[in-house]
Amino acid sequence: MKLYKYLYKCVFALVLLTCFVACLEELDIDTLGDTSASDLLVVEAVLTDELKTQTVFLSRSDSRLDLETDTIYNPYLTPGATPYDSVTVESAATVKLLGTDGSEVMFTEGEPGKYYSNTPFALAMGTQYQLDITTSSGDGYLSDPIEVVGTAGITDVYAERMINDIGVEGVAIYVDSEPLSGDSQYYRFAYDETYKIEAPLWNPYDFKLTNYDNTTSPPTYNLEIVEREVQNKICYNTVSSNSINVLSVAGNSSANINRHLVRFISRENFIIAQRYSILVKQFVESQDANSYFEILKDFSQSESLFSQVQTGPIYSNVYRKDGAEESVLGYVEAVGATEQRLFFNYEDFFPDEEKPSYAFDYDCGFETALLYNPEPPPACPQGLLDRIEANIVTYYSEYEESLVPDASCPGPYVFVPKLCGDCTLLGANVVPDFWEE
Amino acid sequence: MAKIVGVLFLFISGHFANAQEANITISGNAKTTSEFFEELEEASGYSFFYLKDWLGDVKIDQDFQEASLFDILTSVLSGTQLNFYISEKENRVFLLQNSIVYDQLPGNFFGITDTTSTQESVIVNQNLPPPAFYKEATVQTANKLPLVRIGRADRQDLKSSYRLSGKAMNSRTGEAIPDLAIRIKGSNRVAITDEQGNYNIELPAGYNVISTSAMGIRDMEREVVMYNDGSLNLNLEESLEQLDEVVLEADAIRNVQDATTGNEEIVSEEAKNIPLVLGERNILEVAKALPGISSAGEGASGLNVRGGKTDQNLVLLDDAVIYNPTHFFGIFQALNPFTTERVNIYKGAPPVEFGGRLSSVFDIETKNGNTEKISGEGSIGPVTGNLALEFPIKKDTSSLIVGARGAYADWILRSLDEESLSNSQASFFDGIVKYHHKFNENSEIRGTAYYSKDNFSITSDSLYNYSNRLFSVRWNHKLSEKTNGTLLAANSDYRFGIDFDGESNNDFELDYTINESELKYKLRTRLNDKHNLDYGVSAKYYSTNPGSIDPKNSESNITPVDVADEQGLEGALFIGDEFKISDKFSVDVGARYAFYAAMGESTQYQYAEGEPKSESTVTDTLNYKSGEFIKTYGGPEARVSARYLFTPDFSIKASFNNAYQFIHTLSNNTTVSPIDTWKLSDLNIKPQMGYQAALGLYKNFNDNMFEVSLEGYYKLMDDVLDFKTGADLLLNENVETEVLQGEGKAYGVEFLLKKNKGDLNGWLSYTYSRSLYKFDGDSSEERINNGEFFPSNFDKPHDISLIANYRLTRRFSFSMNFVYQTGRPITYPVGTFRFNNADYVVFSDRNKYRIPDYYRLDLGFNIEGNHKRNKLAHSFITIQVYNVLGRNNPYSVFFVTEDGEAKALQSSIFGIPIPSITYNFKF
Repeated sequence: MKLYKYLYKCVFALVLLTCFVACLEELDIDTLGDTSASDLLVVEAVLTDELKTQTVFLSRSDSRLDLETDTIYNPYLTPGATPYDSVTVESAATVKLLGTDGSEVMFTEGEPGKYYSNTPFALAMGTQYQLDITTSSGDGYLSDPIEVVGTAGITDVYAERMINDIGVEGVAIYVDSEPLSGDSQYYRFAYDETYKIEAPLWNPYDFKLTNYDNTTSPPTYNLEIVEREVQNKICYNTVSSNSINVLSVAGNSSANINRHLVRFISRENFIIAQRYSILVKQFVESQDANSYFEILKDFSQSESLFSQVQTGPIYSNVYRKDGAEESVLGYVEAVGATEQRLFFNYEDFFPDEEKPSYAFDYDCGFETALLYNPEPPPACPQGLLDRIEANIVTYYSEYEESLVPDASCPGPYVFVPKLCGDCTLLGANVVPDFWEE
Repeated sequence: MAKIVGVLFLFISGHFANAQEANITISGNAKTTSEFFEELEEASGYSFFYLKDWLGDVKIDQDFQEASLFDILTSVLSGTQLNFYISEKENRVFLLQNSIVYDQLPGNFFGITDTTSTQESVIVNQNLPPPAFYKEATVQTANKLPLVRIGRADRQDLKSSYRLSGKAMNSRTGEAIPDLAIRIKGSNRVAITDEQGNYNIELPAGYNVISTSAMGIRDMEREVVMYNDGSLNLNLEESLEQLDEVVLEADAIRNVQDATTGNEEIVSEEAKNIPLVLGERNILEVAKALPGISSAGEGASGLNVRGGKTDQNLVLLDDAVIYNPTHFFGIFQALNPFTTERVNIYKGAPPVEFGGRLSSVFDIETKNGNTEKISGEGSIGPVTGNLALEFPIKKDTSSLIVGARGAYADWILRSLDEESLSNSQASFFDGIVKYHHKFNENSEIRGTAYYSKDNFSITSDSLYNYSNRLFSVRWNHKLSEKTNGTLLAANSDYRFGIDFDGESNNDFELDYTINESELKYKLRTRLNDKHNLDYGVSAKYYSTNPGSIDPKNSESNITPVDVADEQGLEGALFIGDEFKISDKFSVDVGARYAFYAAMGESTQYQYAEGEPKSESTVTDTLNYKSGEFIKTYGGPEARVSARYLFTPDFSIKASFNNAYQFIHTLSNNTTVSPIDTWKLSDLNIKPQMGYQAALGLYKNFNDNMFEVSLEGYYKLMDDVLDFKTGADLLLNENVETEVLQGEGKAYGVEFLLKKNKGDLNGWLSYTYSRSLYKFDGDSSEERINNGEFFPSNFDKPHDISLIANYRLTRRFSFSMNFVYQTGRPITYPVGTFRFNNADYVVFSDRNKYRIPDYYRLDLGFNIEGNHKRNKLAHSFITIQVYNVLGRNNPYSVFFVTEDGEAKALQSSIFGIPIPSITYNFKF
């Protein structure tokens, strides 16, 4: 139940004071004191009945609480200077899938920790499979037998403008589907969303700084304004879902699914500002897999402030081959999968209405600065040359007072933070294959 | 009795003979007593001196052959009030009424004399009492009754004191007078008559004056001469008395003198000064300030008594079980403070009539209404309004009390500007009606009906509700002088529901219900001074609807599920004896046979032996017809406690008890949630069992002003329930596959210092306790913490409570409540992993960490309205501040994954000082 899910500030007011009962605060924990479960093997594989290159992801657990660097834009830091992701992957393992029909599919590590099947293949219904992993250190692991229990087809994916439970207006994306074969009682939904990004203060020209040496005073440099060589006005970013969305129609495997909510996007979210596309994936999974995801979801959300679910170990379906007591995390599942794509523009739902602000709610504006600050540094912002060198700004125009009125230390150029003039910070500059305008 | 003025007949005879010589042959047959004595005089040659009246009750029907005079007299006078004295020198025989003739002076009559000569006169009877010299008063005072002589002195059995017993009766009505105090003048010895008016007192031999006093009975003095043990019935007159201020102290010493251990009593009215959150009176919250009773934390409903789980408490409201006696997550009690008289809490061996739960009994009693006039009481606080009205139906005979209570938080929430809260809802109410009718002295009946309901929702998509409903009828009647009977019938119903109407298309309605009906007949027989018997029989029928879920509309993706109903029958036979072995030593011994049958109609699954229960290990599916017994459980339960008094206000007590519990809550939360369901024992779920031993020392000081007790206990539990991690318990038809049954142990030491009287009163309690559980199954899923003992969610070793009231004047008083507790255990992650594009934490051992210690101080100031006599209403205002120190006590620390990131969150319930004003009135 999603009781209290959204109420992270204050929950219940009884007297005229608005907030005094039941408050939540985030604790600043970087590293967990107990590291007894760090460095455990994590196996993630969603093998489907679609003919495609299947993927297995192997990693290790960690004693840090947060494995992801917070995605907060800092206009004074060089993009990519801090790692976005810091998951310890498990490389150089031997991975293969064994089927009761005698099939054997080998996997090869394509990216660190990601193992791709050597040939595209589809799981067959009625066949049981086991994933066999041998790590580089020689430890062997085997999954429980898994099989595709049923399939279902998506009949429709559609979006609607709506106001959600906590009063936020936005776009809701729903799916309708019907069972096709086998035992379709447990569904899981995921998606890949792709959105178009347009850099708001883009200019076809950019700085080109060469021979920069700021160890001398004044520094030596060679600054040119050149036409951009790469397209970085329009970009596309694709993000996979990271929440667990399960649905059970246990006891009624012939039930159709109507209006199941897959994604809700606030109208304030910049990802729908231009054109947006979502690939909704529907998995028909086994009861055991469903219960794994349900428990993982239960344990990772606040159900009620007054009573928390009792947490504990969640059992994976992968074990050590030699019978040694070793916890393995993650899950390997076989699903009947289908997917369907939907496109829409902001105007489709919010015609002539104000667009959301730019990424990270960043207020893109013009800036100017001296090329460099003479010694001793006066009370001026960081020099332009240093910023170009740090790759955090892009060119906009020659200095023009109307663009940057009342600038304290005006320089020869007007420039903008890189985020505002170069969309490659937020996505790829190549139009995806599937993209339709 | 009129004063006897008799004529003295002296018979003189001239015969001379030795009284010890066996030379008299006399027949007693067909002779009157006086004829016999005349003949005996002649035959023995002795002169007899006696009053003819005295011979009235002497019966002679035997013959004597060659007997001595001494033997004959001993024989014929045995069984009478008469003694005799034979003067060998004068050849005379004196018959004596009651007394004996002292032919030797008491030991030191002439002071210390020569040792050798005294030795010769040493009397055989070492405990010979001093002779009772009595001078008859010539003038009798009007209210003095004549002297009575008790017993016949027996030279062979002379004692320094004798026992006087008898019965006190009202001379007008002939009824027994209970609680009559009988004092001996010049001594501090007191006896009190029992319910049947019987008394028993030890009096020094000889002359005594006893006085009697009792409420409504005229005081009386009586002169008594004690010759031997005997009886005296007292016929007493009634009196009218001007009542002075009465200070009741009857119970003051109960804590020391009761044989049972681990009992607590909270009187609702007395608890009114204790500051609690939002000025709400809450006796269950006050109970937590007593040693051995706690909860998992502020805002956690459910009480943990001596390390037991929250489902192990039997909470009774006027004999009917109340499944959830709290509102809004346990923050408020679901009991009207003005209709509630008291709660008796049994943490140790409860009385034999109670059973079915392992840890405790909370016996909550509702007041009887006023039979004289209409009266009422009410309060207006920041959250709730309370009202109780009492109506006499027939003066002095029957009355009705009606209580109603409601929260107006809903209205406040709605009027707030805060958007996130305006969608919220929280309302609750409860109401109670009790009718009491006294047919006569020997029979009374009372009936109670109660209903409470909670509705709450925090987000607009779900509305939760739960309700309690109960009825009970109790008939107390006197079967005989010694036996009272009580017949009671009760029905309780608890249900909850969730009405979900969300943005996704899975709107549903979910319902759960449990209903139980109980019939009990118990008797109490006061066998004699030493034995009080309690015995009876009870039967209970349970039926639950473990849940159903229905789509709210035809479009909803919810599949309807209706888990089959469950039925069970619980019965018990019980007998207990309060056995007073001596004044100092008494025991309560009880035995109870508990029986349970899981009943059809039902479908049960049989699982493969030795394998984890799961759908894949089902070996057989068994169907049972309606009313058919699926499985029976049961066994004997012992309730034994003993008390030894070192002094009247210092005792040691010990107790042992065991119990069976056939009904369990299913909860996979760390604390109680209102949507926890109750499950009956069945083919696969065994009853829980508990064993507890306790030992304690109890001492009162300073005229019962201070009570001190120190009690230790050790408790073992078997087959207690826990669940596989992440168990899905709601609407699960194979719930046994998620259940783990393991063992528990709890132990602790409880210290309580209470000051009952004076301007400053209150108590200090300290508990050291541990509560540990162990679940060791065959597979890793069926084990918790590798099958080792681990601390429970409510294991808080140190727990200190201080409650104090200080009365400044009659009208103003201060009160305070201080609590300190060790932080409760929580399950803390031991690692993080990436899965499904998000970070999730890994949990392993349960309850390995603790949240920071908890402490809180609440202060209150109470103002009583003035005490003018003819005021319309009497008022009482409490101004309280909860959590004065503003301590942000963590309630829980938990981990969430949000937008792919794992983070730690800490929740606290009342993190800042909360002031409140409550206005109470009474008329």
